[in-house]
Amino acid sequence: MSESKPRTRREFIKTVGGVAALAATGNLAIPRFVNAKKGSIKLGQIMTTSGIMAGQGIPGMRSAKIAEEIINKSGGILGNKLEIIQEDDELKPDVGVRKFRKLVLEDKVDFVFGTNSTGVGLALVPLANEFGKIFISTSMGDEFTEKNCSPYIFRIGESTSMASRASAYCMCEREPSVKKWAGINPDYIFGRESWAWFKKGMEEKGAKIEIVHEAFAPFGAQDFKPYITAVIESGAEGVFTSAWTGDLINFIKQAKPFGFFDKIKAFVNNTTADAVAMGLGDEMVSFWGEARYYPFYNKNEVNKEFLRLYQEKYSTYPEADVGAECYATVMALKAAIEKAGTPDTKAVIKALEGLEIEVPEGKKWIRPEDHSGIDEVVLLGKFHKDPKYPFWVYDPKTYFTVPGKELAVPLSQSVCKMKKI
Amino acid sequence: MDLGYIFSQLLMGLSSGMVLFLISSGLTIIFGLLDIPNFAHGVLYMFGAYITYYFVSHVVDGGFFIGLIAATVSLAFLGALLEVLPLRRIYQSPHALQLLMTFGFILILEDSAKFLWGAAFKSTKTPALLAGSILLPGARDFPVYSVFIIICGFTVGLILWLVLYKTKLGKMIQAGRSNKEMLSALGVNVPRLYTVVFMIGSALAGLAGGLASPLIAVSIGMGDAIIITAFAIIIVGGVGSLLGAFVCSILVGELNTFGTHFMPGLAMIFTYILVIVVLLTRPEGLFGKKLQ
Repeated sequence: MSESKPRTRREFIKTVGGVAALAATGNLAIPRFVNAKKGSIKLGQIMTTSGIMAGQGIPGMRSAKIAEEIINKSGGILGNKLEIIQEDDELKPDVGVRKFRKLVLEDKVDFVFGTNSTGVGLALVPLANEFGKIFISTSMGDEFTEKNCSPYIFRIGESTSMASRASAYCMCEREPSVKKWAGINPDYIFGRESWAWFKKGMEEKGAKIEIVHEAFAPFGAQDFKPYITAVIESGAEGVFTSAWTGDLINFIKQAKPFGFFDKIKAFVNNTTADAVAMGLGDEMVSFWGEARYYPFYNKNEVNKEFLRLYQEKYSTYPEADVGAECYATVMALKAAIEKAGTPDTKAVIKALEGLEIEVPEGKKWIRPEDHSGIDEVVLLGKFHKDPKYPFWVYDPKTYFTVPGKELAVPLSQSVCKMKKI
Repeated sequence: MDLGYIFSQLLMGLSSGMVLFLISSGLTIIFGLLDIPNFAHGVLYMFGAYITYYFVSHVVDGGFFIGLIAATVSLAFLGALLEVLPLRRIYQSPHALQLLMTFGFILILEDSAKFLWGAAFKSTKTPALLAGSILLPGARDFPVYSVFIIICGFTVGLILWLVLYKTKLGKMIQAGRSNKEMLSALGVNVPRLYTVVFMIGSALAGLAGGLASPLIAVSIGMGDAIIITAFAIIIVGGVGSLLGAFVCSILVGELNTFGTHFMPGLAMIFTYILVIVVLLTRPEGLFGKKLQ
């Protein structure tokens, strides 16, 4: 039997007092230097680098590291060294929360960005508000700039609604003969919203379509065959899915033997289609894909440099579009801190609002009213085999673009009421 | 939903059950004799998938079948290494410690896989011989590969049954489950028996991974996705019972397939309801030996 109670009351009070004091120093708002130079500027990054979606988180980490190197090589930010501290959220909201706390309280980061999954990212919003730290979301949830908008919260890139509606517009224009649609989507917030927005996008264009089947598969499902056969049974001509990377790879591999892609006339995916193409190699099939960043679309210098450095350091093309979003986030923060002349949170918030920067995916603008990151265009393309690359790429003749500003939720319809701080 | 469709779904459930059986058979044999809940079983399965992927992408003819053999054999050796060096020192330790050690294996092996093959998803192409589909009575397509899985599952099950019940090794394994001390007193080299059993279990995990790889994206986390289901199956079937693993794998496969049609979001619930019911009413499992 071990003695677990402290021997004397005095010892007990010392222990409790000590713990309380430690907790208090962690939570006190330490007066920040308004002066710019303070040695180093720390960014916390939270992505999924383990488990089934590690293939999405790791490119995010890699891209951020490349940005960090470029920035430090050219003198840092306002003469301060940039340090990016990276943590794994294991695709779990509670782990993400724990890591956020660690980054802010122990590592004393100035800003936090990340997540691959909207589900995890949304769990971090209340913490950002509580600690008064900027959190830039690299996941796609609309909520970051709608229901959960706040001065501290930004979303760097396309939202679920933008990607899904763009997919619908693309289908209306490029596959107008497809009338019977089915939706197979992962059963969580991103999957459900993607499907809802796709249907809405079709309505917006006045398409006369019939929804013949819809189903939600568990996120990370290993066996899609029952879903595949159900879609075939329904007589669908077109299929929309927001299943991403691992899920979509499984779906495609399992669907092929059923002759799925001969039976269906159009197949469209609203996210990270590039990662799927890289994963499948020559098992790939032709379908319409969307990605927040597509390596071969934009020919600007920033993109060429990003791709060159990625190839040099990791011997591959960026494995997922979220990598470029992370790179853009770091660059945006640098630009904002320099514009503000200080890493002070309030000043950086003001500097981020209305910021326009050139990043690998093109020009990105942060809308001041709701902190949405809006790209020049949202891009879709149909995959085809190109011998120049080890994986299928969009056929450039099929590029379909919608200006980002057209797709962003109009401010008149936005539910965001941004508080002033 | 007509009969033809129902028949095709039954077969699909059987094929998905056979994949689960290949995974859970190794797990139940190890847990049954060694009394170790081998949580690292999932990463062994993952390693088998990666090894098969390597051979498929580097060897043009017959790469898949060579890869399967390579996966099975190399996992047997990996299993031997894990058992002989760290694992056998903690057979007498509490389960919690054993869990920690197997969890340690998971972390080491996952990082090794990340180092060897990178973090992006990999895909193993279905061998041309087994691609395509057959037409079932009822006019539904059914993948040839799924037929192959069913055949493999039954074959492996038969071989395991023959080994366990018709060979001396099998008799020793069964005897060891009820009385290790007596077995040792009879002159059997029990530590070596344990190593052999762990090797067999690991080889099965590797084979399962290889066979599953054309069906699913090969990723570092693919083991995490199935290990819980595998444990659920062996708990329901009875730890150490081969028949239990076989029957319950098919049961879970069918529950998942049909559950998807009737209650898509909740299909997985059926499996866990089954676990709860069995734990409450017959904790030794449907085919397990009654606990002393």
